[in-house]
Amino acid sequence: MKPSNPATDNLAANYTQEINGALAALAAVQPREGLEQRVLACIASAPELPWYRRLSIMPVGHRGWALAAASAVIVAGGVTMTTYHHRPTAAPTPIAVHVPRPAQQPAAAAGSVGVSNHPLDENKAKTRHRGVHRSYRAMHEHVPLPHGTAAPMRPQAVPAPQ
Amino acid sequence: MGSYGGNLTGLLPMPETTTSVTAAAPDRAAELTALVNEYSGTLYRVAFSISRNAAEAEDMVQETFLRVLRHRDRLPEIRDARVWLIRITWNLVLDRKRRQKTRPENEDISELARVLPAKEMRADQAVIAAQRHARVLSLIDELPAKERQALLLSALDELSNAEIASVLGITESSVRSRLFRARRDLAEKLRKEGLKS
Repeated sequence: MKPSNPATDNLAANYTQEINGALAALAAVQPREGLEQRVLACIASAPELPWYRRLSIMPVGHRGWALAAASAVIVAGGVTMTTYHHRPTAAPTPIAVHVPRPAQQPAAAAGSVGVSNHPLDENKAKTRHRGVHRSYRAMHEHVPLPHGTAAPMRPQAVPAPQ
Repeated sequence: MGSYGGNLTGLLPMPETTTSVTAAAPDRAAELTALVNEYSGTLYRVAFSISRNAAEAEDMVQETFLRVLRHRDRLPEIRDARVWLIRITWNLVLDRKRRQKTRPENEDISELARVLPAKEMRADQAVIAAQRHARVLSLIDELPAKERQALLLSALDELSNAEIASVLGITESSVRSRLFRARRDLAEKLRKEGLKS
């Protein structure tokens, strides 16, 4: 706080009447007639707050009860959900059956990978290039050829032109 | 969404089985009505001292009692209802002023001219006096917020220094020092303005 200065204090005293006059005018302001009736009418027609707003302005004691009730509902719901969704179910035990696979003939092997000579299947066969390649390897690598048969030339075994 | 109904006694719908509570409901409604009748004028002046706008001050009074209605369950806990209501109005007005940011330039001089003692002076004198008061009030608005608030609350005859301290949340000695500084600075501004007493 600034130290008191007699000059400024005197100045304030000179203007006291002016200041008090303005403040008195401010304090003498009166509302229009019927303010109380308008306020009461406003209160009576005020809309009720939604439940979440009422909860926010609820007194602390009441709010505690409301929070406890809400927590109980949430816990009960959680327990119910857990009980119904995590009920243990017996998983079917897989039965392992070992069946020896019979050796396929080349023609049958080719047929098994979807290669067909039918004209309608021509386009389909083009999209199955990898399948055809596999069938080629299946036929010439994994299937034993009869004796005296020349092995087919592999694509990568073709010598490059000099 | 419903409303609180047209009758204030029906503000607190309570179960009929609890006789003590049903007795409290009309009591509280009557208490609210009594608060409106007793303090509307004071709250209007509090709001007007900041807003300087009659319509806005009336809105603030209505908003204050709407807040009271929402917190009506706390009414029995309130020790000094007058200071509590003034504090609500005060905060509401300050909030609105803060949100508006820009204050309209034209002061409500007509409102001041209306309340001046017109019987003792001629019409032209009343207008001149209202203009002088409006000028002083505009200088008050230029004061720092702390000093200005203390000075405006002190203008209300109904409020003692202790009550002003309670509204502003400060000590009584702080109120006195703020009032002193406010009057001193205001006098300095008036001197610079050339307004003579």
